[in-house]
Amino acid sequence: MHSPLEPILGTINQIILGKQREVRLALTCLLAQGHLLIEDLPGVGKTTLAQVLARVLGLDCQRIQFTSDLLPADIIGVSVYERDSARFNFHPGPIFSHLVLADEVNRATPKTQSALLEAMGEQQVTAEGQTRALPQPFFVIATQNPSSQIGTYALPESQLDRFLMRLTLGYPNRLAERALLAGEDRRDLIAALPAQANADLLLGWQQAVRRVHGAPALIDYVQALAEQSRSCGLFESGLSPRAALGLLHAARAWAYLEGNDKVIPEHVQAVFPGVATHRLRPRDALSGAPAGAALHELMASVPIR
Amino acid sequence: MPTDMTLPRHRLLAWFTRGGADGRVHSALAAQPMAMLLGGVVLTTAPHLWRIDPLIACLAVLLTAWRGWITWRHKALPNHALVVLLACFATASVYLRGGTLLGRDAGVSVLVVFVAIKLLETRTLRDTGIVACLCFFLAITAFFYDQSPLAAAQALVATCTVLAAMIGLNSIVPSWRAALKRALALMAQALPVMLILFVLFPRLGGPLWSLPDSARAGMTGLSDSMSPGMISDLSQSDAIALRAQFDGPIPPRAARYWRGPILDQFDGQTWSRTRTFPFRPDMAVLRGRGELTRYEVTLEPNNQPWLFALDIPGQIPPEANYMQDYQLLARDRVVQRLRYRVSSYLDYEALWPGGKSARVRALSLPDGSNPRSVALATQWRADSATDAEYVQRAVRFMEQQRLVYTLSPPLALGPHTVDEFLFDSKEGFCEHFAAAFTVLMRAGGIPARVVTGYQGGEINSVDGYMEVRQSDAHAWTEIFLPDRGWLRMDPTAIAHPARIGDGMARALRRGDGLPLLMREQFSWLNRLREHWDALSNAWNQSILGYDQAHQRNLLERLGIGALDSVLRTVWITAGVALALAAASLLLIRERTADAPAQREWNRFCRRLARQGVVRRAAEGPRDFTERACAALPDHSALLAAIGAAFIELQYGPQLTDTPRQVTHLHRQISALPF
Repeated sequence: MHSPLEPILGTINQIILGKQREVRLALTCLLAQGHLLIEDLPGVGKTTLAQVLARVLGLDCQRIQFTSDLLPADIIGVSVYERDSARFNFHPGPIFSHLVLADEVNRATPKTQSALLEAMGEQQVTAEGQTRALPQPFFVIATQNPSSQIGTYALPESQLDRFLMRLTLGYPNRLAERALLAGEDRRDLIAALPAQANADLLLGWQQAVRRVHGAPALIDYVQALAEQSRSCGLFESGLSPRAALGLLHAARAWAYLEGNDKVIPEHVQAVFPGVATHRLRPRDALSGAPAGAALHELMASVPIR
Repeated sequence: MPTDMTLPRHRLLAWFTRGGADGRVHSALAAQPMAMLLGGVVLTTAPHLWRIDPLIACLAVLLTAWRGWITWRHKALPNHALVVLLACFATASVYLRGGTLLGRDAGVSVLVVFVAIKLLETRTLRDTGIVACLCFFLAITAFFYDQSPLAAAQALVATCTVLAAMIGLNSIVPSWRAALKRALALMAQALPVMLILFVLFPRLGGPLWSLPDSARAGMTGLSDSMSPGMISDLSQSDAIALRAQFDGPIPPRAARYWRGPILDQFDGQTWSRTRTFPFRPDMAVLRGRGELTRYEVTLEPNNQPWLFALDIPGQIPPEANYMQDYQLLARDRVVQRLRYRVSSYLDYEALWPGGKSARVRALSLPDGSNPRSVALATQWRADSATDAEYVQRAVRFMEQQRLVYTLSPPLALGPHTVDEFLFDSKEGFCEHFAAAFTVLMRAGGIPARVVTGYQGGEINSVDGYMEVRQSDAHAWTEIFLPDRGWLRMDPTAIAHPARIGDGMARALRRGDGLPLLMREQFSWLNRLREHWDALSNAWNQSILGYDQAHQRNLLERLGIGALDSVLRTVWITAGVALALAAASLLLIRERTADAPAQREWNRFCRRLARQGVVRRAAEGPRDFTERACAALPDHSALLAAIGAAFIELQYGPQLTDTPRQVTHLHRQISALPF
């Protein structure tokens, strides 16, 4: 049982060293038609990840560096008067691409953020009274820099809910870093990569993910997880129904990526931290316990019958 | 809607069969349990079909058959409007055919046809639930007509089928075998509750509600009058008239005269009964000789007040009246099976001639009737010195007249029935003999009257009860001689002693239309019938005969007789409520109980836990199997197979052969060497 995406994963892992799990989650998020939020320090390979994903999957990729003076029009595009044709022509912004890397999304003003988030939610943008569909597939990787919070507008929880997953890449381990330092320039490597898929193929995979079987017993488990998150008292608020739906869908994509035609609890557990981490704020956040520990405690407390 | 107007008739038909407004044309119910439910409906309604109006019965059968066809061929259910129309039509038919919508027959008709109609709009599980409830109610209504063990067995089978159908309809993978097994288990579980309710639930003094007269129409038995042919008609019936259980020795056949209605009024054709008054049979009017014969009679309902007792009743049950013609009467008509203790003197002197008018009646003959008999009697009277001599002459005449005892005597059409019998046809049944002899006695100035009742009775060798059937119906004569009181004279026995000595079959001519069970070639059938009768008697005595008095007795013996019925009802209600609460708790546990695959997996986990490989609560099946394989590498192949099989069953798409897969999983787990 091997998924057609196995070679793609292999290729990406040649570029992003020592981050198999995160790469797999990122691809899962893409297959589940969700958007990804990466919260990490600069220089750990966020951009590289986006670029390699786009390259290998045969998608076009745009990077938007969010700054405090970024305006919605800078993302969506503007209409410019052209003298030759004597009328306004719409110049699509960087959001009109398959894969958008929104770097340091928390640096932009809420107005600009919401323009991006709306596009993510609706899969379309409205500019100057005209609604324009975004290319399909459409996948946003947004990054946040957690270290310097001065002059940033942290995404509110309601907006965070729009991201299917939040990941941290973290520092590579010793071996991976060694290989990175000893190896060739990543940018050259990416440029040399052949495209192993295209937009249509990816759309087909996304459709196939929807058909992965979720048995009643599994749905019971997902429901139990959501209920436990609401009632266990570890978190300020529990998982929303949208989150539960996202969890199930992400688990489907994970199962598909593993080459399975059905979801089992292990798939749910694999994606659960990614899906839940930005939606559940631990109640005793100030005591310094990491959010991941609470999530694992939650998972351990929900029995698989 | 298509706009094609060329075939309006077909469009109308199509519209009617198009399906409901909700657009669900086909029923989503599984075909097999649905067929089972149909079978249950058929079983429940079948006994009613003969009782209700044929038109309604046909309608119900047709509609049920339609639903069967729909289920079989996966056709569309009819339109809602058609169903409503059918319901209106059915109600109207019941009303028009029966003249009412109230009462037992109309109610049952409506129920039967509505079950069939409900089937036609049975789309969802909820609908099947309604059908099932209707079936259960219909099964109860069958007891309004028939309370025999056969009816009970029929209702039991029908209930079980409907239950199994409901179980099948509600299970994900229906299997009629499993459903039936479960239904039987359910019935078995209900048994103790049924027994407790049967024993403890307060009995009502009478029937739950009074049945309409139509319920009594079918009862057979002796009536309060006798005309030629009536008793011979009755003797075609094999139905049990009464059963008796004797305390002491069983009286000989010749003494088995069951005294019934006394007929002393004669209009030339018909003998009828006169109302007399009760009296106390003291030593002045009744002298018994020898031991009292004590016994208990279970009388089948006959819609008449008579209670039968061996000639002549001595001590009588408290609820009966001893009438001046030595007949026992109940206070009301016997419409339910009645059990009473009574005793009789087989040898007696009954000295009360009756009141003045009764004495006149016992001698009166209509003017000008049966002139030949009267002439003969007048001649005998002139020749005889005493009453006894006169009676002797009459007896000798009966013996010598070569009268033929037959079940099918020629129909007496003339006005002088006795003359025709004695001198022309010479063929008759007991009523002819009795009538003729009584007329002869009266014509000679001896008070006489006709006594009807039963003569005979067979001991059922299975349970020892004496069974007296309608075919034992008999008529004889009673004459009054001043010094000896009323004397029983059986002219049939005089002419044909074999009738009394050997029973009717021997006395009748060969080829005469005997009741089936009296024919000798059917002795095996007779044997079967004996067993069946013993069974229904046991049923009657212990199940149907368990009435208020018996209940009180039993409860007193159990030491809870002191509770009055209100308190008992409260206790029972509380008990039932508790039982229901416990049942619902069980039900909730059952609901949350594990699916078969899960049970197998739990068993697997328990087995591995004994090997030290304990599954953590939140550990998924694949992780656990991998860990188990690593911990027990010797069995890794089997462990992995079990894990994969469980994952497939629990998380894979629904399989068509899930039960088989579960069985396979079970075997695999059993194959583990630890």
